Amino acid sequence: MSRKVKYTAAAILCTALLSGCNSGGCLDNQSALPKAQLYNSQGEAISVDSLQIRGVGAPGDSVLEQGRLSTFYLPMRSDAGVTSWEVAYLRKEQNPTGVCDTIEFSYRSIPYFESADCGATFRYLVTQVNTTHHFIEDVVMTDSLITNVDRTYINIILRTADEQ
Amino acid sequence: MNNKLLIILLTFLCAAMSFSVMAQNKKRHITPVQNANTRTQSINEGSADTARINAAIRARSTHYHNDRGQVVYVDTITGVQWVDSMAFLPLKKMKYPLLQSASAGLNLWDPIMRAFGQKYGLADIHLSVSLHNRYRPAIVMGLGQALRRSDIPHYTYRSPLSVFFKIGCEYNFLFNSNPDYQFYAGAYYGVTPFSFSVDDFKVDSDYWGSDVTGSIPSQKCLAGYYELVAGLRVKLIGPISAGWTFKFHGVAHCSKKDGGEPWYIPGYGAKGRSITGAFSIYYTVDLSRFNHNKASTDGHDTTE
Repeated sequence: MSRKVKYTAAAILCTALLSGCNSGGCLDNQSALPKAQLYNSQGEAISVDSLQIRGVGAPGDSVLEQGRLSTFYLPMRSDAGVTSWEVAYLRKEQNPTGVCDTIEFSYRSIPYFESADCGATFRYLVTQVNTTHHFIEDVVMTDSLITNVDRTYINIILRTADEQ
Repeated sequence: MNNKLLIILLTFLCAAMSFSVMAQNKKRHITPVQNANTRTQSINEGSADTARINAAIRARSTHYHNDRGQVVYVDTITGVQWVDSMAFLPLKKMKYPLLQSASAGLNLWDPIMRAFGQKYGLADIHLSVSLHNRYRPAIVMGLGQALRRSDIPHYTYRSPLSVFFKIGCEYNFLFNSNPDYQFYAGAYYGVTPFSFSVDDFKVDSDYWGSDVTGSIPSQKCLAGYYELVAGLRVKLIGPISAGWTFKFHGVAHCSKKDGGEPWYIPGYGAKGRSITGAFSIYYTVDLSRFNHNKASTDGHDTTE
C-alpha cells in the first residue's frame, strides 16, 4: 500500500512538472504601440535628421522623439478618442519660420485580453487620420486595427526627396 | 435469245440464294459435341488453379477458433488443418465478458493543484463501462472555474462556474490480465459553454503621464477540445481503485470574441499548455452477472 502511495505521488509530481513548464511568456508588446515609418515621395524608407515628435497636450509639452529618425512609436491616449502629434523639422535653413505638421488620429479604444502573460490592453480601431501638409505629403495606415503585435502601422510620406 | 439468257441468270441467282439460306439454317442447328474429352476439359484446365483447389477444400472443410483467436480449418476428408492466413488481424481471446464492470471516478487533480497555487479548475466525475476489460467508453462531466489576479501586468481574470462534458473511449492493453491493474490509452472530445471577464486591468502610459484602467465585460464562448490520454489504474482496496493519467490536449475550436482570447477553458485548463494530468479515485461495480453467457476459459468467446 505504501509503495502504491509512493508511485501515485511520483506520477502526480511528474505530471505537475511537465504541465507547468510550457508557458509561452509575453513575446509581443504589452500594449498596443503603433510603429511609424518615414518614407520619401518615391516610396523609399528614409531616415530624417533634426526631426522632433511631440504629443499635443502631453504633460509639460514633453518631446517623444528627437534627432535622426526613421521609425518611432506613437502611443495613443487610451482615455481619449483622438490623439494628435506635432512633427517638427528643426533645421533653420530648410524651415526658417519653424512651422510643423500635425497628424491627428481618431480612433475607438477596444479593451482586449491578450494572454495571461501579456495581460489586457487596448486595441485601437483608427477611423480617421488628418494631417497638415507642410513637410508631410501623406499619412497611410497599413492596418486600421492597431494591436500589440510589433509591426509598422503608419507610413508617413515626407515631401523631402533630396535632403535627408 | 436475250430472254433465254435472262431466264438462265435468274435461275442461277435463285439457286445461289436458296443454298445460302440453307447454309445459314444449318449453322444455327449445330448441336454441341458431347464426349469424354469435352466433359473433362474444364477439370483438366483448372487442375493447377489453386483458387479452385482451395475453394473446393474449404467447401468440404469445417473450422474452429484456436486459443489465439485464429480460424483453423480442418479438411474433413484428409484431416489436414491449416490457419487462414488472410485473417491478418486475429482477434485475441476475450477472457472477460462483454459487460465486465462499470466505474465512477472523481478527478482530484484540480483540487490538489489548486492547493499548490493553481488558479483554475474544480472537479469532474468520470463514468465508464468496461467491455471485455478491454474497451472502456466513457463520459466525463465536471465544473470549472477560474480566478487569477496578476500584479504585473495588472488585471483580474474571472471565469465563473461552468459545466463541461467529454466523451471518449479508452483501451486497456492488459485486457486479459487481472483487472485490478490496467494500463490504458484513449481519446476524448470535450465541449464547454463558458464565459470570462477581465476587471481592473491597468495600461501604463509613461508618455501621457497617466495609467489608464479598464475592464472587459463578460464574453460568452463555446469551446471544443481534444485529449489523448495514457494512464494507469490500480486497485487500492475492495471496489476502490486509483488512476493517474497523462493528457496531451489541444483546442479544436473556440469562438472569437471582441474582448480577446480566453485564458481558461473549463475541463481543458489554461490555454497554451499542451500537457496536463488527472488523478482519480474510482468506485467499480462488477457487471458480469448481467451477461447472458459467461465467458468460458476453453478458448471460445461466447459473449460476442
